[in-house]
Formats: sequence, structure tokens, C-alpha cells
Amino acid sequence: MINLNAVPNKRQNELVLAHLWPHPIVFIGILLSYLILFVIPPVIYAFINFVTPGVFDNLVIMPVLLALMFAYYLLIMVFMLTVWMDNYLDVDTLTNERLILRTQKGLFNRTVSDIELYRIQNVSVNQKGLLKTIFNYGDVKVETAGEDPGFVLVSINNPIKISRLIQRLDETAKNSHNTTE
Amino acid sequence: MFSQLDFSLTIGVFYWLYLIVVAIFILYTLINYYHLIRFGFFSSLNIVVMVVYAVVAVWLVWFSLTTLATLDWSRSLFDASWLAGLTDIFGSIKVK
Repeated sequence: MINLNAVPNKRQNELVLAHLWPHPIVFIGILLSYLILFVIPPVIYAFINFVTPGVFDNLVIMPVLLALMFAYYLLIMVFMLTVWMDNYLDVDTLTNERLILRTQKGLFNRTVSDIELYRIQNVSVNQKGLLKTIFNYGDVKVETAGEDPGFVLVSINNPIKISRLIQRLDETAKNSHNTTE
Repeated sequence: MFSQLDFSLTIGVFYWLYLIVVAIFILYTLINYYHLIRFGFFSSLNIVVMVVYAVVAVWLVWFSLTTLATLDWSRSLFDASWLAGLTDIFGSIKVK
């Protein structure tokens, strides 16, 4: 496993300031949706048993349904783990010099990219919706000069505070690199 | 010539299908663990998720295999008696 202070191609004097994951409510939402899937077989069982009592005592139906039910639960579990892995490995890291984005898409697609803070031209926050307002999370869009489309930090916690931090670091980085916008 | 061959399909097909699902489950779990160990942070949350998942997964596979192993899988898949049970659910079609 990676140390919390590790970043790709770490430079001398580069400090890790924050790791930005999606807000926990995003994970909880995914978890709840899968818990609903866990409840479906017992509900179907109760319904069929209510309509036709004793149907599950059949020595052909019962083994087949049990095998299907166990297979269903195993598949849900492995999908849950994949979704967790997919989201947990989507981490953006802010250092005093760069913004690093690590994106995991499915099992076999992983990209790592970074942007120098002094190249940032615009930082905007998008926090729409009831849940995002209540739990204080949203998207932060970071734009640079040129054709580079920039980055979007998706569903991060406290986006306004993070955007201000990026802007402040951007100013410092620009001053140290003697660049002008 | 073929009169001695038995082409009857048993419900054991579903048992074999289940074993294939178990194999897929183990394969995908190992791939996910590889990613979480190789690219994930050394954090308590990551470790807790992996340990809890491993415990539940091992228990579920063990429980399901031991449960299914006790059942009789030699019955014919096309035994009409279970079709009667299924169609009784809807109460309209009767199989005799």
C-alpha cells in the first residue's frame, strides 16, 4: 500500500497538503443502494411463500433457488467491492506545487495526471442540490491556459474552502515562478 | 444404438453454474484486492474494508458450499411436479 505522503514523481521540498476523496455521503449512497439489492431475495421469498405456501419445499425448486440466491449474493458482493475500489482509488492530491489526479475506471483502466499550480487560470465551484448544500460537498473545476480542458474534482468535501486553498497556493506558486497571467 | 445413452438433464447444472460463479467471484475479488493493495493508501479505512469483506466473503462461500453440498442434485430438471408448483403461483395454468 502507498504511504499517505507518497505522490508520483515526488520532488524535493514538495509537501502533501490534502488528499481529496468524494464526500462520505457518496459512498453511503452507493452502500444503501446495494443494501436494497440484498433485501430483494427475502422479499420475493416471502411474497411467493405467502401466495403459494409450501412451494419451496419442492425438492427441485428449493436447491435451484438456493444456488441462484447464493450466486446473486456473491455477485452483489464483488460488485460492491469493485465500486468501492473504483471510488476509493479516485483520489486527488494537492501539494504545494501540483494538483495530482489519480483516476480508476473499472478494473483495468487507471490514469494519473498532474497540473502545475502556477498554470492554473481559473477555479470555480459547483454546489447544486439539496444534499450537496446540506452536507457541504460539490465539484471544483480547475482550468488552465491553452487547450487543456482542466480538471474537475468531483463531489469533494468543503469545495469552497478547497477552491480558496488552491487559489492561494496558485498565487504563491505564480510568485515563486515569476510568471504572469 | 443411442438407446442406452441418458440425455436427461439434472438440476446439478445449477450447482455447476454456481461453482463457476464462485470461481468468478474469487478471481474478481483477488483483482480488486491487488488494486487496493498496490494503489490504495495505507489507511485504517482501507484495511477495515478489506478485512470485513474477506471475513464476509469467506463465510458466505463456506456457508453456501456446505449448504448446497447437502442437497440432492440428481433430480431431473424436467420433472413436471415442480412446474406444477410454479404455475400454481399464478393460479391459472395447471400442469398434470
